Amino acid sequence: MQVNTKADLPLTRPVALNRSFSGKVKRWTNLLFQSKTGTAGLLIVISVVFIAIFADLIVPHPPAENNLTNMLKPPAWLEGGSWEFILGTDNLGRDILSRILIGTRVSLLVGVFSVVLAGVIGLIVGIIAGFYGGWIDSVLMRFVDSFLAIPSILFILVFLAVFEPSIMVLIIVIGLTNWVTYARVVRGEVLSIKEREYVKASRSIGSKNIKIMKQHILPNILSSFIVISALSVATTIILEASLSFLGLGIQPPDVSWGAMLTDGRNYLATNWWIATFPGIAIVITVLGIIFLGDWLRDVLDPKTQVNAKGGPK
Amino acid sequence: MKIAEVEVKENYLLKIEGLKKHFALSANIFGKTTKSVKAVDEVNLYVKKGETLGIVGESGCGKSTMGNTILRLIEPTEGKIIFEGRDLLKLSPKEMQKVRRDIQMVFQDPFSSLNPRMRVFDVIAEPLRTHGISKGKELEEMIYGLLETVGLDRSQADRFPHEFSGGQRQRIGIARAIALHPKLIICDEPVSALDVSIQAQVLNLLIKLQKELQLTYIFIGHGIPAVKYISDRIAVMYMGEIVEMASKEKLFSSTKHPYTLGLINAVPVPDPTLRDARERIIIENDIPDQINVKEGCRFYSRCPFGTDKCKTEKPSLIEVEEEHFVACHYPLT
Amino acid sequence: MSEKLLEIKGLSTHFFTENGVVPSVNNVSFDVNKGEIVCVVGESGCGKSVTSLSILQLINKPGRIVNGEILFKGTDLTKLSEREIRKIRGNKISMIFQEPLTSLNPVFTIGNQISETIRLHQNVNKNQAKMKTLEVLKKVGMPNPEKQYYSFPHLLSGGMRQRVMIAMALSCNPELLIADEPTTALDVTIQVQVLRLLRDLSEELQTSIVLITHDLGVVAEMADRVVVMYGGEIVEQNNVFDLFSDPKHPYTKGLLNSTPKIHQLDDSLESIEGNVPTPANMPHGCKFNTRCPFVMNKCREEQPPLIDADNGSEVRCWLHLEKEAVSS
Repeated sequence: MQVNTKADLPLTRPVALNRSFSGKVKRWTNLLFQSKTGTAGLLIVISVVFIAIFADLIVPHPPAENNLTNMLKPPAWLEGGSWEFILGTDNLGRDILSRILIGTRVSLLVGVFSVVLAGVIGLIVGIIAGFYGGWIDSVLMRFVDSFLAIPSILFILVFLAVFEPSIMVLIIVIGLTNWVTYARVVRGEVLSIKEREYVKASRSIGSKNIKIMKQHILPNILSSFIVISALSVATTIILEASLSFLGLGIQPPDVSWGAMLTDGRNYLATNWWIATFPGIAIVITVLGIIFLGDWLRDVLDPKTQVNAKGGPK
Repeated sequence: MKIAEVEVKENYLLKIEGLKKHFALSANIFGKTTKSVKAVDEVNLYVKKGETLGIVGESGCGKSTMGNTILRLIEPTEGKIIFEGRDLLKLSPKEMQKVRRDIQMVFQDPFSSLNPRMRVFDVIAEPLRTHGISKGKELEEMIYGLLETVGLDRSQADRFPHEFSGGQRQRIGIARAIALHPKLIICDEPVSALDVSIQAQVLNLLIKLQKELQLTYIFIGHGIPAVKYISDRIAVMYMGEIVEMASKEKLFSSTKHPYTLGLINAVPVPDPTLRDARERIIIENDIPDQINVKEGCRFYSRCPFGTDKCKTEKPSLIEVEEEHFVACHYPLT
Repeated sequence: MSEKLLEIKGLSTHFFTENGVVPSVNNVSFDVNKGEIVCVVGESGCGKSVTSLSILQLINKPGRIVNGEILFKGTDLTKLSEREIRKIRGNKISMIFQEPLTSLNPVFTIGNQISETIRLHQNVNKNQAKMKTLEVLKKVGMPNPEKQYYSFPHLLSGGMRQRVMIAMALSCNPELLIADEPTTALDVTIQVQVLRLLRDLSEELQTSIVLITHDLGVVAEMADRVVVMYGGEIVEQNNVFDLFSDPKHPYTKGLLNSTPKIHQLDDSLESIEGNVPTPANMPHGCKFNTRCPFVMNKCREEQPPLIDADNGSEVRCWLHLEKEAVSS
């Protein structure tokens, strides 16, 4: 046997990986079709986004138009319903389907942008606190702790009492209450990743802190960050609905799913459809986003491989 | 002669003088440390150009902390680290940045030393890009060259670390370390996590690279056999101190410190016929509490030859023969 | 001939994962005699740990023993119900694992944990269990057992924890002790203490030991007989002296050559080419053919059988069969 310093080839698993964009797209689509819930999630989210953008063009009736002659019509498949108002009408004779479609906009806008706002603040604070440690960490985390000590609903109530509720105000107030969660989660992840040897290796090479954060820390916390963000979009949509339900959210004539629930509250016993359909819209959207988030976590992990059968490992 | 008095010679690449690293465990309200672990305490050593200095000791003896302080990945409490005539601890961050080109590290855990989200190409490119050595086509060629040097194939550059076995990952780590043509490489237990048959591959690769690239190694390890195989000289550490330092031949054929002897004797010999034939000094007990270190020789509690002098007076590292240093009041003969 | 305590016959343990069947252990057979120390040696993924877990039926889903018998004093352990096997675990057959910290429950004192084990298997009261615990702690060389009885695991050093594990394993006077890399996590000066302890106990109590390890040094110090595994199969089996003086399988030879020799000043290391194969890329034919320096065409086509060689040894290599044919 001779002294040998050459590792054998080929590698353990012949996986075709490609640096090119088309290669990436191919991997993504392969992974998408491997996961049924991922496919479902993506389809739901794409349709919700599509509806939100083109809501004006696809609504069968103007959503704010009162039509007292068609008051409280049941859905089309029930006795007394008509195909003109597929999901029925509310107490002012407004078409429920149209209102749900247009309400998509508010729910998505508030859900997505407040999460983006909260996420960006939380990510920055979390990375700085975790990476630098010491007194910087102590100061930032004590601030986060005191923020967590305030009941968020109280904060929102005060905020909304001062400012006139609008979509923008809702986004800001929800974003400002939620960033602390991100900051804590991100900091925890950073603390564990910064002890890994590749971070030490990069420092021993002479990399600057900013570069280490960008190249080694951020990519490795991104997947858990995206998952909590997706879940957070879902809970924010519900939060917006609750605020609107309390009358603190979107004001008429703007429509949101939560406001629709409020409208239907008094009619639950007699005209159940008014509150039920916006509720179903919330459930479907939230599920879709959660499924998509789970799938994204798998896709973003290079360890997940495209395999012949079964879902991602 | 005490080792601290050894002068910096022409052929010394690195000399460490009185290096200490104390980790504070608790402090009083004025921020003054009341309790600390002396992870590295008064370490003196030198490394000659082109040689391999092995550093061996059991877990918690401070060998890895010491390795990390050389590159100032951990800031030492006090001491001097003289590399090519300059004290690294006096350098500004900017000057230190430049020195980092000349000193590189190979890490222990092949699974955490590579960023799982970077392709092998980018892993090896990182030092070259950081120091602006090259880019574009030239960079690509350099990286393919490095891959081939460490026994990998250029077609593997596009893969992620998890697609490689432990030994292959360690090769990638080595390629990253030699990319900048450093003068000194600190190998921090590079084979401890590998299978036996793969350990030999990596050790032989390191030896081959040393010859080809005129490298100097500090090889830190807890496995004496591997350290013995690769090193020219060996320093034995115990509880933050060097207890013996000599050439490999001297260390094994005329061992001076009882701890070194116990350490050597503890290694199982892969020859069953020697099982009962060997006379052994077996060190009893465990490493004592590192927080409340007693005065006197640190090995006293486990030493089979300890006397009252050992209990009260701490021996310093002294040159008893040419280039054979030992910290013991009663060196073995 | 000494009495056979454990006979493993044609054991195959496979894992049924989403990505297909992983045959971790294939057709493994070996015996353990009373008072004997058998070392199972091999590198990561060779199936040595799965073999040891299979003996006590500790294979979790998706793994399953698909074939073979494990006869312990004539009873086939694979046929026992979960209740029956539980009576044997920790009582007649005990196990020690690599990482003593995770094997001990952090919220109970060590005395509590050992006496629990004793009371589980023996009909004794609390006080008697405590007496027995102290006795066994003393036996494994625990300094000051009365005090240590009330210590929590995290307060002990690694070596002391492994002593506690051994004490727990020995508490019911088992006839067989399975030790899975018991010293890998320990420093050498502690390793030598633990190994010596195991050997003394084996001699004193006539306990048989199956020692799983990757370290040929440990094998040379401990074993009576050695089973070398590669790719889920036994490639060579022999008594320890013949195995080291006359290794028959190229893998055993390679392993010996790549083990640094502390007792020789002038050593050279030869490595085995290539990487340890994973189940996904296990070669066809002989499992070692991708790394073997003596590989022939036949090795790539056909899996060699385990061939009986001289002095009760066995080897799985075509090279050896050819030799036999020539000499006879």
